Amino acid sequence: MSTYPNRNQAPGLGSTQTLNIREPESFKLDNSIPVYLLPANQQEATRLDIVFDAGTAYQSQKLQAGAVNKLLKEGTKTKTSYEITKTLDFYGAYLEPFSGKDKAGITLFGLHKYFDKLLPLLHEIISEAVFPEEEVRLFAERKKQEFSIQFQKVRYRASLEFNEMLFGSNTAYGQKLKETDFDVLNRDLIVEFYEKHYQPAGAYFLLGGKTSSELFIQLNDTLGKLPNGQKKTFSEPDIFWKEDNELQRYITKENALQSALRIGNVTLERSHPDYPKLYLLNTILGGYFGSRLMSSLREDKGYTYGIYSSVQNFKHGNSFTIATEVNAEHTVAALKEIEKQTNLLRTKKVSEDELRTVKNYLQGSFLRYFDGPFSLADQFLKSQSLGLHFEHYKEMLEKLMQLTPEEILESAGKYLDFKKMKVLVAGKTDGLK
Amino acid sequence: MIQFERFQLDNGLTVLVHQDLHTPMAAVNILYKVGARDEDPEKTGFAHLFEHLMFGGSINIPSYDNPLQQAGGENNAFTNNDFTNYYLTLPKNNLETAFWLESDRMLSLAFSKKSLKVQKQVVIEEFKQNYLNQPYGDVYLLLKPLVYKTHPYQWNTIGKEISHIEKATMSDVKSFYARYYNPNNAVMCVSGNVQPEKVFQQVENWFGSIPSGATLDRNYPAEPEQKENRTLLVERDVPQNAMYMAWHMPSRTDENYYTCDLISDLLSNGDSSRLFQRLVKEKQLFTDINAYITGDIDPGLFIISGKLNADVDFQTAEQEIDVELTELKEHWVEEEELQKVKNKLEANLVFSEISILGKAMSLSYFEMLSKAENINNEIEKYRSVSRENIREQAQKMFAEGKKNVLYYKAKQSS
Repeated sequence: MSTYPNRNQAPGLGSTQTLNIREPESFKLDNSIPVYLLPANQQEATRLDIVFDAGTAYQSQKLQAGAVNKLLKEGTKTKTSYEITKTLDFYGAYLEPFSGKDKAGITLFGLHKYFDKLLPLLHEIISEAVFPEEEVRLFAERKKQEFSIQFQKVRYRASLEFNEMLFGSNTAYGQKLKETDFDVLNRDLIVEFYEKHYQPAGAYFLLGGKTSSELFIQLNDTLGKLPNGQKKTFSEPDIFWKEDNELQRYITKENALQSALRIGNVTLERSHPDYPKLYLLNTILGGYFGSRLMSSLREDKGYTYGIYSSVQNFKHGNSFTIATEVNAEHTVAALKEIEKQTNLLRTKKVSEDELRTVKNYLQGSFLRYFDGPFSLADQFLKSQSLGLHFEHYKEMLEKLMQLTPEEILESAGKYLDFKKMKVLVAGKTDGLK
Repeated sequence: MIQFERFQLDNGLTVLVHQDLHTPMAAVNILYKVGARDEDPEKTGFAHLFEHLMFGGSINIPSYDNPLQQAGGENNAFTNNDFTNYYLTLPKNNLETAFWLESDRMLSLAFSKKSLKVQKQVVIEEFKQNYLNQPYGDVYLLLKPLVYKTHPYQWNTIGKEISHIEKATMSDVKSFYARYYNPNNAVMCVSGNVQPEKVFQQVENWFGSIPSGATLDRNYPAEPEQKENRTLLVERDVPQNAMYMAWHMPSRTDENYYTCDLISDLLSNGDSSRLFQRLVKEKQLFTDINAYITGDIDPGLFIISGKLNADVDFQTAEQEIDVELTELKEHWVEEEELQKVKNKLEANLVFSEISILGKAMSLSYFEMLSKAENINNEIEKYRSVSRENIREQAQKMFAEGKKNVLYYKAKQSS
């Protein structure tokens, strides 16, 4: 017999589950490139990530980093673009380029049983890419078209402009793409960047999912043969970002139904002792669906389909950003409400109840971020790119769990000052000061 | 191969459990068999609006999200033509919280006036953000009614127009809930680090007393056979001309469904595919092009969409696509090429079965279609498609008079 349950009360929560992460094992290939291992042999899929110091921060001309990254697989000394893609498709594999501000590289996803067929191809792509003129031209043309479509969206426009406001123009992090950049791109620029940055020195690999000792040997026989010692040197950028006085930028788009809003500033480095406090503040304000901004602007007022805040980590500077698209009619009211909610964190202590919710939510989120071989790999790559130990996530979670309402109030006073934040509006701008 | 156990409550709720001990998490997926095709033609967008209202508090629990977040959980939902799917993940030790929340909103909603008012606004913002406020956003609002004249697939899940959402009333909400949100109209799947016996016992406890609803008799008006090509030309403020071609195709449970899926992959899955190699790279008629199927339960659509290069006119672009389709109709595809798209499908299936949430969603979906066991036969079904099947299906699907084309013209800037 089933008993009618008590629906008025939540069932008790189970005991807290600990975050189970360890520094991954690693070994070195013959050419000294480290390979980190995150094995999960219960499944058939394998993933290999190859990471270089080749992000946009290192480029002397915009689009260089992204173009090299995307065009790597468009031809080698012995294979055409079509032959490469046909082989990848035949084995059901995906070769996905990735490129951020600091790092760039390529991820190979595939079935373990075909990896021996794929590694020689990957080796050739990394070491003997030729960047055919025709592919470069096509790439620039296509990307220019895409850009002009994206540029019409208030959301894209806002992100593009806000990145420049945050990090400052003419800095490594603050670069802003414009349509004419596509006309300047050429093969020489691409080859120059490739030769400098897609080199074994400073590179590392990550092998996740199904692994085997045969795979290690094959890896060494292919990518372990990338020549090291012939590295072309490159220097770090002069300025990653700089303070700028511009606090407001309004971009008017006639007849926009929605306005895109971006509010934020450059903020604490990850290694700063107060970083966990900022992280928690961000979560309360706009870091999850139950956040104050979402509750107010979406659930209470219906101004928007969604609003989030986030802390973004880069090696040389982090940013805090609130982002949303709101009904254009409510642009001014939405901005006011965001200001109000931000200030509230500086004037009133968060309740024990809300703090408990956020902590429990984060506890669950951390478990989720590290669940499954591929999520684990993503998190590891992130920590590695920031120069952090993998296990620091565990320490960070412990610190988050200990924070008190007083500490949070105090750090809001220090780090969440709306008056000092940069504000960008793209869309309907009349009525804004 | 995904292993699972099945259990049915007396009220008709079907429960599937898949155990995966490699994770610290549990996932719960609940699929209600109601989608946009069940809507009144004068009240479209309702199934999707309703999905939002499911988060506005239930009879005994004022907030859905808050207690779930307290339990470290995260959730979301989506609505399509055929069903509405709610899903969540949380630490395995807190699984019962999920049952408490989900069973209460299956029992009864709070039907809050404020929630209805606000969610109408939120959905209207979603409508604007995704369908009106961005280039090419209204394509499917235009294409669907061109292709479907009778069947409810003629409207999109977001609805035909904003006014339909604006005029939704509380009494609409209540009757929709009473009709569709019943245990006998749902499939639940629990996956992750869970014990099946314990899950069945807890599910019985929380869901067992929910009364079942009337058995639904569904009759969707069948789409009459298309006899003549149809076209529509619109002009919009966009950077490039684009075209969208659509043909009717078999239903999800028809054996030729798999053939159509493979045809779309031959044409455009991966950079080595025909349309990308020939029309984007070689002839440079398009900057991007795609072929895909909608995958609906009732007869769905086979779509080819592409953005045209600046100096290419619609006629040339369309002719070249027709050349590709004629080739499929007249020549056998090479065995190696067919092998390629099958291999890719197999890999994609393996990738989609990595996460516990992915597995829970797939199991629920196949249970809705017929039975969850079929998930393990999918690869076989694709493997058994022959070159003859491909050619025959192409001849049938792309026959004269079956084409629908939306020409989406960029306004000349003055």
